[in-house]
Amino acid sequence: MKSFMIRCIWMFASILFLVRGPLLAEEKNPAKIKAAAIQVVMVQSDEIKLPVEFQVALYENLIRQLEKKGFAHVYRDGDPTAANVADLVVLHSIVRGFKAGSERARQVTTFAGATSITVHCSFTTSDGQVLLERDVNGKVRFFGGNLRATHDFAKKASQVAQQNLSASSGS
Amino acid sequence: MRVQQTAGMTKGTEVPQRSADKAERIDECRLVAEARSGCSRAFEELYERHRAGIYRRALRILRHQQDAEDAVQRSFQHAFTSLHRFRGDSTFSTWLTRIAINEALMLLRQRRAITRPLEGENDEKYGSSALNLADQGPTPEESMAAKELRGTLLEAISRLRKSSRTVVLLRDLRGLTSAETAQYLGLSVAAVKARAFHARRRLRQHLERKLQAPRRPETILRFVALVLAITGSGIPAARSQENPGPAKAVHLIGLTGVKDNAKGALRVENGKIYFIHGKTSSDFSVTFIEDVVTGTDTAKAVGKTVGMVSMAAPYGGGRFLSLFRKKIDTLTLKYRDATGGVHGVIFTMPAGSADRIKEELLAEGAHAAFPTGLNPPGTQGTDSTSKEPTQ
Repeated sequence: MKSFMIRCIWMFASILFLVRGPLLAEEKNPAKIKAAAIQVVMVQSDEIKLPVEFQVALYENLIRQLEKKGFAHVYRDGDPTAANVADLVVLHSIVRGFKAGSERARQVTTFAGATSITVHCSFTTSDGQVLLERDVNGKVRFFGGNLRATHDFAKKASQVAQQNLSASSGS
Repeated sequence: MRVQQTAGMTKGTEVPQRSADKAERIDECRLVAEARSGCSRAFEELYERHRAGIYRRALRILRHQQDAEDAVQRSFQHAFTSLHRFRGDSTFSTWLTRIAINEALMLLRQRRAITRPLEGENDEKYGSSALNLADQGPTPEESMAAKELRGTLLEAISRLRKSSRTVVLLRDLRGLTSAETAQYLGLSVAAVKARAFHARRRLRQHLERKLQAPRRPETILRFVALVLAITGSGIPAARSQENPGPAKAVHLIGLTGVKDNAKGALRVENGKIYFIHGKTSSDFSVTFIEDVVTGTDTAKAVGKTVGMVSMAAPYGGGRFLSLFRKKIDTLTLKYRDATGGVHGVIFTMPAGSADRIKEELLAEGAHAAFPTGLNPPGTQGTDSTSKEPTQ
């Protein structure tokens, strides 16, 4: 009787393991959004007074990092050729927070004066349907100029894109 | 606060509380000693311990969150740079709180100076009606004279020897004491005082010569040209005739095929802007440029200067170099390529060059959201005091 019980428990455990295995695998690799190409719209900062240099650096760094992450077709804002691409994902970025910080304060104190930017990124289809929305932070805490925060943001945003979009080109 | 807490305790709990306080004080003394010897982690620990308390104290005085944050930052900066002057007569927190109170009061004074009431209970000071307000500022003659004097003084300072100039800048412009200046420069206090004495004597001689010499017409013209050159208010047409040539620039980001931080020269010629770096040159048509923004424009738009890039600081010398950093200007261009895609390029260059390049670009047909000499929309002038939003 006792051995029968042990066998039952073992069988139950092995069934659980067999069923749970594929489920876990599915959770690890959720279905990615198909994106043959991505278009980056110029970063908007209507509510926040953001220096133009930061706006341009955010935009240029974002394009560069997306290209690095393996997106074969990264279109710039205003590029008319993007309109004809199927499965085009458009990345809109709106600055939600900006703290200028001070490089001098960082150099002097090593802990104060961090620069940080918070950008709301929304990935949409070409007709405006929202596919994914995230708030992404860019920071420079210790070393480097204030503009490095834009680089940090671009790296994180492109990582979000890589994790959620299927970069394999369909065209 | 602690007195109130302990007053309510029984004798049995007082003893462990006192011993804990004592241990904390000893630990703090150790941290202060380590911070003095240059250990940044120790100061970081002190910062973490006292940040909240200092913030509360500053907030109580200023009643403004962002100003209180500024006061906290300034207080810790001040404490860090003056840690060697902490004698240990009181606890570190007492000393720090005193600094914070001073900083907060200073900010409060600045804020009062900026926001002068136009209406309300103080109306009688300025007359019965707002329409009767007299201009409290200097007359045009006075401001011109002040500008002239400033220009002459700047010229005189720039003519000093480097060693003397540094002392004058640190002592008289940055407001450091002789001892602090000596510490920064690695000199004795006597040497600093001697250099300051000689520098002042030279300045006095130079200013006397400039301001009391009989002025012939050509001398006056040269003097006016000098003042205009220094104050940056020259006539654009006259400047363009000078044809000053390419400006030294560093490409930060944006140009295809050019590495970040590539050094070169920027030139506007025949309807094109060229960035020459090494043996190669990148260019694009000026008419494609949709916006030209200089550091001055950004300062006007945002309300204050936002530094972006640093000078290289080798051997951990950033702290020292930050005091002697050269002023740099930025030039940001937004343009469209042949397909219509938007590009952005950022250059840094010596102060003043960006405005000149912008004038040249506008003359060649580039567009700008706010042309030279005009304030960007939403601002009232260069003395805009709007604060940057924080997170």
